Formats: sequence, C-alpha cells, structure tokens
Amino acid sequence: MTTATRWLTGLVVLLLLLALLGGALVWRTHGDRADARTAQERYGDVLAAADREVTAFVNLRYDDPASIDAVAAGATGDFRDRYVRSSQRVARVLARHRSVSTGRVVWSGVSAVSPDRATVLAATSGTVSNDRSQGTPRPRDFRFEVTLVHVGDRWLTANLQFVGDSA
Amino acid sequence: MRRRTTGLLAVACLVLAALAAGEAWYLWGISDPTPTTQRPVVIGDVDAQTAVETAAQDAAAIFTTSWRTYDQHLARVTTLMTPDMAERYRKTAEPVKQRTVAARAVTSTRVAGSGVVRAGTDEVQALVLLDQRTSQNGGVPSFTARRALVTMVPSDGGWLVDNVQTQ
Repeated sequence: MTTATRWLTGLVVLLLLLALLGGALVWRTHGDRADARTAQERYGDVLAAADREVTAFVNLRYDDPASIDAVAAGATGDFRDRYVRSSQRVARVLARHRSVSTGRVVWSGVSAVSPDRATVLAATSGTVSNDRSQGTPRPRDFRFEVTLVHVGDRWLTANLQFVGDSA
Repeated sequence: MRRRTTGLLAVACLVLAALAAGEAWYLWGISDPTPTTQRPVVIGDVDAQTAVETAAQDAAAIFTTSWRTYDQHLARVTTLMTPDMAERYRKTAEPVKQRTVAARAVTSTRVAGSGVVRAGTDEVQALVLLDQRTSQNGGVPSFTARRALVTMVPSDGGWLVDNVQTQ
C-alpha cells in the first residue's frame, strides 16, 4: 500500500464517519422540522376556520336564507344543534326587522391550540341596518371568542361567543 | 491495480465529501421560515406565548392613564417600547396629556383576552382585547371594548412594543 493510498483510505474512513453522523443529525432534524411544520400549519388552519365562521356570523341577511345556513356549515356539536334549532326563529326576526349585517374580520389571534382543540379571538368591523335604523347601515364592531375542535380533517366551531365586559 | 484502488478511493472521497456538504447545508444552510397565511406562527409555542403575554401586559399599562400622574405614566411606559415607538409616543403625548388633565380623566384598562396573530423570530403580532373604563371629572366611568394589534420585537432585555394599532 502506497502512502497516497493510506492517506486516501484514512480520509474515506473519516468522511464516512462524518457522513454517518451527519445522516443521523439530518434524520432527527427532518423529523423535528416536520413536527414544527405540522404545528405551524395548525395555527393557519384554525385561524382560517375561525375567520370563516365569524365572517359568516357577521354577514346575515333577512333576504338570503343561505347566509344563516353558512354559520351551521362551519359548526359542530351542541353549538350547531342549538343554532340549527333557533335558525328559523332567527330568520323570522331578521325578516321582521329587515335586518342586514355585514362585516369582516379585522384581526384574529390564537389564544390556545392543541392537536384537537383551539381557541381563537377575533375582532370584526361592519355595519347593521334594520327597520330601526330605517335601512341606514350603522357601524358595529364586535369581539368574539371562538372554540374550535378538530373533526376529521376540518376545524369546526364548537362555540362562538361575544367578548363583552369582563368585569 | 494500485492506480485503480487509488482512483476508487479518490472517487469515494469526493462522493462522501459531497454527501457531508449536502447534510451540512440541510442542517445549517436553510434559513428560518417566515410567517405566512398558511404558517402564521413559525416560532416555538413558549416564545410566542411569552411575547403575547408581554404584549397584553404592556398594552394594559399603555392604556391606563390618570390626569394626576400622566408624566410618570409616560416615563414608565416608554421603557416598554422600542426607541422608535417611544419617540412616536412622546410626540403624541403632549396633546393627549392636555386633554386628559383638562377632563380630569382617569382610564383603567384590563385585558379581556389575547392571542397570537403572527409570530416570527424577529417580530410577533398579538391581538389584545382590552376593557377600558374612563371617568371624567369624577363622573360615572364609561366603558370601551377596545381591540389592539400589538407588534412586539425581541431585544436583549425581552420583548418590546414596536407598534400599537387600535380599533
């Protein structure tokens, strides 16, 4: 064996050990990054689901029954059952007062999240017009707390409540 | 035969060196992800939670004022801010102080809720819901349900307020 061959053999062994160590680190890092990506995407998913539900909730029209159904479409459990049971009454009240509410989510933020449950706060801005306002849209800003649960591959609303005076 | 062995070892060296370089790039060459709509939170839960809790406490302090102690308030809350934010805040403080003193206004603020909107390594945005009570000339306090988007940036001493938007 020549000197060059001995040196190259030593280098191959060294690089092999380095590559094996690197491979182990890559394997572990890849797993950590995949877990982190899943957790990070969960935030996006729950915010998107909460924004959809809150947007549906602040966009109700007396002349568009589908707007009432849109809230139920993103809901689940007792909240959905209660909402569906009361939806005919809600529709009658909206129609009686010729009520139209419009709005959008200005900001929303995750206050708690786990793989199967999340709580999101949302701030909305919009308007409400009805017979009392003689059809004139009046500004209405709301604060909501939305509880979501993971059902299948979707995040659905298990509760939605106004955040009022906490005192 | 000897030249063939040397050649094979040299090729093995190159392949292993390339493999190690690829592994090093994967481990240290990929930059941290930036927040997107799909992945709005790209830092750890503990870091995000710490930033949001600091944002909530600081926002409550910033929005709690009294006509008797406005100068002390200004001196205290500007230590919670980045230099840029503190400068902007001081510029708006004088007319606010004059109105506050003229009305003998006392405003107390408490946090009704908070959540993370976006979070990256260099900036975190928090939605903070604040309940504000303001009394003027010793009268009955009026209630305001405030919503604030608080931008926090990291510093050597912890998270600092870099911007506050309210609605």
